[in-house]
Amino acid sequence: MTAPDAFGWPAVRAVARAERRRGRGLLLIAFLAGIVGAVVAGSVVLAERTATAYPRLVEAAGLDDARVLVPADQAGLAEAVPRLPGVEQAWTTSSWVARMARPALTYVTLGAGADRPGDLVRPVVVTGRAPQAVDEVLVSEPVAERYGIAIGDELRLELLTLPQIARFDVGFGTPDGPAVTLRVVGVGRMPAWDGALSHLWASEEFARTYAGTASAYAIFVRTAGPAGAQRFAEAYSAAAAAAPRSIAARYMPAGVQLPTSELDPTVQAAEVAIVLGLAAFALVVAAAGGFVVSQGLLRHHAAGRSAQQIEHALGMTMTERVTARVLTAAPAALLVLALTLAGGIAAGALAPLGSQARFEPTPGFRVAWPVLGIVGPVIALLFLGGVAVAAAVARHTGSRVPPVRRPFPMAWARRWPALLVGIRMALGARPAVLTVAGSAAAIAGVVAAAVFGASLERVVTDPARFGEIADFSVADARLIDIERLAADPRTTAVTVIRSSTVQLTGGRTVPAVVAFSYKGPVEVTVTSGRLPIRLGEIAIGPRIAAAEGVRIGDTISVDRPGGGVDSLTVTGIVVPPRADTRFRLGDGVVLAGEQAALVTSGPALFSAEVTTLPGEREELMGELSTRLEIEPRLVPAEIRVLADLRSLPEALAAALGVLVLAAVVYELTAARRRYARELGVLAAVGETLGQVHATLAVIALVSVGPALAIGVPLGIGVARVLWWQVATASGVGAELAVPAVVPAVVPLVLLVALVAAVGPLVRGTGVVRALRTS
Amino acid sequence: MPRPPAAAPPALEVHGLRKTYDARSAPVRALRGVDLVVGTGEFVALTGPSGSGKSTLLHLVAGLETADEGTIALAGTTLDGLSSARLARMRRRHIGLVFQFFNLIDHMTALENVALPALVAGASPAAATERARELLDRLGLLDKSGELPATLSGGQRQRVAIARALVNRPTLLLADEPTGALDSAGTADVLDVLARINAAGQTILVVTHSAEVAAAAGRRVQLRDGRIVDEEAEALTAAGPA
Ligand SMILES: Nc1ncnc2c1ncn2[C@@H]1O[C@H](COP(=O)(O)OP(=O)(O)O)[C@@H](O)[C@H]1O
Ligand SMILES: [Mg+2]
Repeated sequence: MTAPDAFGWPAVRAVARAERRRGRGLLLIAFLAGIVGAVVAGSVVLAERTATAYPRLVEAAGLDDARVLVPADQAGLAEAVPRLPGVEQAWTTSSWVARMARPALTYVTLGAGADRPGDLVRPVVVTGRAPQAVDEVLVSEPVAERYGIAIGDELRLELLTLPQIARFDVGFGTPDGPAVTLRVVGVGRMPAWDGALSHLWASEEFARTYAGTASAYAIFVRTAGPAGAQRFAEAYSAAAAAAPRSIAARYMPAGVQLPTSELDPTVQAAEVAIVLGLAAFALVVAAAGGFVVSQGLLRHHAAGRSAQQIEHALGMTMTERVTARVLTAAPAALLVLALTLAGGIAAGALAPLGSQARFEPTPGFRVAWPVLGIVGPVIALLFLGGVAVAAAVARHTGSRVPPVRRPFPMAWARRWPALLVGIRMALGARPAVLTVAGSAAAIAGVVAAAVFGASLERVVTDPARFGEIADFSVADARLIDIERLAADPRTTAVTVIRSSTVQLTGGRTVPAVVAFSYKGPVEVTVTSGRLPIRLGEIAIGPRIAAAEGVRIGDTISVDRPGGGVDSLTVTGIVVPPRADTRFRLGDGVVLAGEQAALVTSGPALFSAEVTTLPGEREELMGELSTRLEIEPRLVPAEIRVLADLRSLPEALAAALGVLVLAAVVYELTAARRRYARELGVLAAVGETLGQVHATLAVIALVSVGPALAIGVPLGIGVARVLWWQVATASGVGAELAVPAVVPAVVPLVLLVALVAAVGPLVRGTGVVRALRTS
Repeated sequence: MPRPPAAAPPALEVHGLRKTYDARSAPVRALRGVDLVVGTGEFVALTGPSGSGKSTLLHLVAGLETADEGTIALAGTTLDGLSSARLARMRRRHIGLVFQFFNLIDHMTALENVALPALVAGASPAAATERARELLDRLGLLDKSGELPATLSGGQRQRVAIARALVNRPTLLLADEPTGALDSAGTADVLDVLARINAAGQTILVVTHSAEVAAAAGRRVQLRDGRIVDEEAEALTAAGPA
């Protein structure tokens, strides 16, 4: 029935049945591949969620393309808006300014609108529900957080009239509008709350009841694309210019806001960094995992080489032999698929990374099913492809070509036969260089990720690292205030920072700072070296150190404003405090007072950096804020971007660590099988089981020892280079933090290797069986 | 004890030996009551069809496996109830093993392979090397001491394996089809070596399918279905096709 050249299905099926009997090894590899797949799928799902959080929120909240706030005394302008060019849809709502008695007297904006067209501007309700009754209100997430407002709270709001708003700066007595008490029923999320969109949003019922008392129209517009928005903006500006001037024009500027184009650039940078970081993470795990899995598959099929040789001799083609093995691998591929999908689904419980979490429109479980639907099968198919390739090349891979090159004599090891034999077997068995290089690279990856992660963590969690030592600073501090602060028993340190600029010879103008201590230690972060204390000395920020290529002990030249050049010796690398946030973190220099007098130029600003006793911060800040300009300790944007990334290296270290351990276990379990004959021989020449195990232990140590010896320092070196790049780019100090897990890596890997190699006790009969079948 | 104290005990004394393997389908009764005595200096050939239990008997005697029933004594010392560590020590003292497929350690030189059992038995490296060199010299392989097994011929490898088996001056040399993987030249080599060492006093128990080897032995014993058949009958069947 079958033509001689037809595909030999019966033979394929028979071989597949036979192969299935060796199936457990394949399932083990599939399990490993599935874990890798799960990590990759989880990263992809998380990256998708993180990258799409903002656009999804825009979509879900029906974000407007343009919004305007029209004072109530310009009703004609408000009426004209829906008919202006570029407008596709417009929703005119009412807006109030309200005085709220909580926590202190504050002014908030309140909005409400009826007859919303479609889904235009509908804040996503994160908790609770949308307001329905006339006395219900939804609070924006930022305001709820800032004032600690929760669902069920009652807000007493006194509404201001337009004339009162117009007199805001000169005082207006008590609000003349209606006083209402609204119950908070929900907390809402929007991509952009600012401008015309009020932080408190009441019901349609409220809008109908109180429309007449509103101080402004908040009009939300959907336009035909960005070009339409532009046309609308121009038309509105023209219309606003033509309209009669409002009495509150000072407080309600006539501009058009374009919320979709107003994503904070630092947020954008963070988003890009996070998605790139996740992609790098997934790639590294996929590459390392792919390497480990393909090694396993090659070895698995190389072990079945003799079967393939027989099949070949019986006339089976390579396609038939490979097909049989791919068929056998189907359950294993299903396991890979299942684990990959499980990883992706589990990642659905994770919130978007970093700052993007606050844009998630559907907090809680979410999986991008189409993405997972592609990633899962692709990984399972890659696994099957790996099986096919490994099966195809197996007949030609001689995994056990006995060595012919004379080994090193190692006379020193002869006294301990287990040591001699173990070293000889471990070094002579396979292309040891490749294996050691591969394991060393993987271990280096773990160490590098862990060290990098710890360094990142330390910078992000320790404000002193990014130049913020004090609890708060007092801007434009006068001497009297500074002396009072120094005398206050609640402060522990008061440092005055004098900020101006200095001209680097032939280079940029950079911020120059002098720090005087009025109380306690000088509050400037020194990452290495020391602060300058006399004429001729300078300490520089990491950014300048990197840009100018100077180190401690080198000299750096600065111009005197009146002519002449001073050559200053660098005494330290410091993170200069920033009186002026236009300069980037880590930019600038610190000088001693006398030196500053010679070389700085421009007006000097004075601020006082204040550190308080524990627990006294809030009270002192509250007290001072009535008289002075207080700046709380703030996290610079550069550091916020880093903070968003900090979980990645740690996750990478963990994932790579699991892979390294899995590879070590697999490799040494396989070694036990591979060396079964030799172990039998050792028993036959009189070794006790204990001595046989000692040989296995030596094999384990020799297999992972060199990889550890190379991998750990290499990893620290890689981390140093990477961290230096990131740290100087962010302007923070570049010293590494070596976490405690790094020294623990060595004993841990050795221990796992020992347990895997010695394994469940090799029984005497097991040893002897190998002797019979050789 | 029945034996008079003056006479030295035989190299090997086996009584009522039984061994059953728990195979997946049904238990395999590999040995069903074997009695065998090999006197010191004897050269005994153990023959029998494949699966009759020859290798099992050798492994039990070497203490690599333990019997279900029966006793084994090497030079008068019984193996009964010894721990696996004690058995390993007995093996060092009394047993040299030679296999069909040599079972040399690929990563060690001929000299190191030969010296290994002596090192395991606690000899100093110098003494072990000295003894290994002497044996290789006796077996005509001194010029191959530094070679790895992969570079040697089958006959040379088996002679290295025999040297390794002899390095601790064992009471009994056990060889399981030592010529089974060799061509006729290799077989002749090995046979010559076995005859020479036996002439020098080495007690040998060799499992073989080869009529030549059996002929060289002083005595032939046949196993069939896990039992020794008597030596008369064995002599008759040995002539016929087996
Ligand atoms: N570890 C084992 N498990 C199960 N059966 C075994 C084992 N070792 C040997 N046998 C069986 O015991 C019988 C005797 O084997 P063996 O002593 O190797 O025979 P011979 O060496 O005479 O060919 C055979 O049927 C063999 O299949
Ligand atoms: Mg046999």
